[in-house]
Amino acid sequence: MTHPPPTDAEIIARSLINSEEFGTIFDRYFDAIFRFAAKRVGSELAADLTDEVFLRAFQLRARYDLSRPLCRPWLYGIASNVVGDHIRRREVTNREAMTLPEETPDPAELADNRIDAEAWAIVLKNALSELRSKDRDVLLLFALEEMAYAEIAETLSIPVGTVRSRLARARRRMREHLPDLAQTPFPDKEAGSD
Amino acid sequence: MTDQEKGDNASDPLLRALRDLAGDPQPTAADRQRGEEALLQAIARERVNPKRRWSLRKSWSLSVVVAAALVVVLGLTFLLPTPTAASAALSEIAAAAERVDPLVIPPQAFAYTRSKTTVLVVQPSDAFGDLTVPVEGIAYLLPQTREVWIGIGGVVQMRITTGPPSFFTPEAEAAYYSSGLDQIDQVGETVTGAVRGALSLFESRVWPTNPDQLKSALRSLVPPDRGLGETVEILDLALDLLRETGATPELRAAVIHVLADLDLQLLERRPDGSITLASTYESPLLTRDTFTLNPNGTLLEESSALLEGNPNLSIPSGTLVFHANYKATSFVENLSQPHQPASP
Repeated sequence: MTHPPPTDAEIIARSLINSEEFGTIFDRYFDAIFRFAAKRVGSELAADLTDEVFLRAFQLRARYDLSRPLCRPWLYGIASNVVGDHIRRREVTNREAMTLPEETPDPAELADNRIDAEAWAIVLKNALSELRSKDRDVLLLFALEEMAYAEIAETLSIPVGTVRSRLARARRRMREHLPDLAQTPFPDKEAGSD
Repeated sequence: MTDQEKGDNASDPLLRALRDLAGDPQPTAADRQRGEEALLQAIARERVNPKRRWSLRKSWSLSVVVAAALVVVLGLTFLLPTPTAASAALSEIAAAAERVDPLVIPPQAFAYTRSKTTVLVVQPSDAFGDLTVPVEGIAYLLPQTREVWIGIGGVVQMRITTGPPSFFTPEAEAAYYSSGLDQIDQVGETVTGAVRGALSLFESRVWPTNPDQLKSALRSLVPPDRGLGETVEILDLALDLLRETGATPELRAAVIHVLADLDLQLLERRPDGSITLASTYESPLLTRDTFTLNPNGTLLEESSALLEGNPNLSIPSGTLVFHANYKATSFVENLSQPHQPASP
């Protein structure tokens, strides 16, 4: 008889007795957490931050809610905090070093396809950097991790209504910075509260 | 993701642009290996079972070694009966264990067990950040109470309460609290968690009830190259099985027959029929494990004592680095009983 593989919650429970069991959580989610971090801070820094995510998760595992079979939202929540802390530290350092932002190309030119992909990337990055960090987190979890609203809510420990309102606001602000996307019918009706 | 969310995500050019910008970065083998090593170090620091994780360097003075060796030799010469006495006592208990009625959990009820343990924890010096601590780190004894609720299908809930640690020096105590290790150890906290599925070695497979086959099965699980010797390795695994409330009388009897075949010393036989046995080994410090069984083969108590101290960690000889006693199983009607968490 074949048994179904143990759930994340079962593995975390076992790891309270035999800590080596936590290695299975690492095996299951290392790549995903690395990609999550790399998309935000680049591959070079992602390795360090991913290590930190798993060390924090290991230390905090006794507080994991074992009624939740999948620990993906919990790990992404820790990863959001670790990456967010890193970005905040970097922003402070940049401010202290008087680092100038990258020069933003004229978005109107982008619409005419007159500048290359590299310039387009700068426009997008700068538009993202203008967002409130809480809005940016929701937008990136939805766009890059393709999480459902409910999963984002669980990851960030916020109500689903707040996910909707932050996502709508993030999209509206991005559209303001990217006029060539302005005609896209984004569903930006704000719901919930924040 | 709902269909609406999926469609929204796929059709939005902004989100597509963000995905293009992020690309699909992948970790290298070196990234993964480094992450594994960092996690393994953290796991190694978390010492739950001293018998399995006690791995300090042997760096104590010759006088301590000689004194401890004398204690052991005298103990073995004058106090301890021969292994034959242990085998005979265990065989009697195995026969009684086989006749015990199996545990039957009533419908709509849970078996409830409680154990109190104290374990030695050694935190390496790098756990203390900028604080100055001995290069070997600091050692302390951490008490915990573990409560387990067992339903018809197995363990369903655990509750762990951690008490304040005790230290071997005031400096170690100050460093511990200054660096916030009490929060990591969750001192003073009670953690309750729902559990489903196999939790332990016992629940991970179907165990043979033939003692020879059982011993072979346990021997196959002994990690290689630990140098502890077969007696202590098999004893360690056998006690894991004996500790389980759900072990059948047949399995319990087979485990005790396996124990009877090990090189154990009978320390004490009490008027109520319970017996205490011991095994002495180097791990690498000279250590003595003891355990007590009642006449029906139920595990009542177990401990590990260091027969020699470690001056580098200020641990005196004779320190109990692990101790656990087990309360008799009772039945409760729901998972909120008993109402108050046990104090460690």
